[in-house]
Amino acid sequence: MKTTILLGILGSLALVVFIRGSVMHRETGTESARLTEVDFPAEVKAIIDQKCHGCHSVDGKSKDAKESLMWDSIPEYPRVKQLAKLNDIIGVLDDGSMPPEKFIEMEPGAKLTKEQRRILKSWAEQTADELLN
Amino acid sequence: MKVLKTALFILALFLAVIQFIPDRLPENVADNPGDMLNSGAVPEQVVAILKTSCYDCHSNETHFPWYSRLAPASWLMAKDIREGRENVNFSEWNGLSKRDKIGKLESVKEEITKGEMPLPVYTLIHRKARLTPEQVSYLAKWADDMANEILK
Repeated sequence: MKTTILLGILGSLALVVFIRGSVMHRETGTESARLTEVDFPAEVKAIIDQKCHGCHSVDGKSKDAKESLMWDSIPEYPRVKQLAKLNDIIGVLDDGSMPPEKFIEMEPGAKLTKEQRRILKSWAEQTADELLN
Repeated sequence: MKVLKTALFILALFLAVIQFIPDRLPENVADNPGDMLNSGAVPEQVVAILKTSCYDCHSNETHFPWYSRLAPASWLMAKDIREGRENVNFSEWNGLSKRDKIGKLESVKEEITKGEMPLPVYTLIHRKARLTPEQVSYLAKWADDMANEILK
């Protein structure tokens, strides 16, 4: 009788360990499939902090800006969404629509220099290529 | 009575005159070898939704209703169709880069989920183009799946 109970307890313990192990394994599995490294090198981060972060972060005041892009959230997105955001970023760097004309009128310092535009764009393109491969 | 007659006459004259302003309606293209639906990989249910709710503005095959040639309706339509084709044109899908395809599919998902597409001004007249909540979630899931498929 005692042995049966003991065996039962041991058996269920083993089962619990096994299930937890496989669940954890699965979680780390999806984790690595979903989260890919989007790194912000110091040079890129400095530009983003200086020129974009004012609106495109939790502290931003424009709902539109926050809905369109939150820089800090990019690393947490699924890979397809990361790519979509990078594609959008490349798009606005190409057509010059960001930072918005109206905002620059108020704060001329917000304008991206040619060099900053180039650095951001090549970072976005390179990161997108890495995510695609 | 005379005032009403004059007003009607002026309105008619105004409508007649604005017909001479070019509408810039985009042309249709009959042969679209790069159309996304040519691949046969898109499920029939999705094809049906896209054709009914999206293709008037997001393809080279717009169904122009009779009033589309009449100003001022034609101006509004010309603008929406032009912008629609510029943003996503399913008729020219195959020429896009992988990155663009994924970006556009994620936009499809986002826009329909937020209810921003199809445009309310369009569904007001084209009642069949309105998406049911089931169609929205089905189409959104398809778009996301297809984006992930491209990534593989």
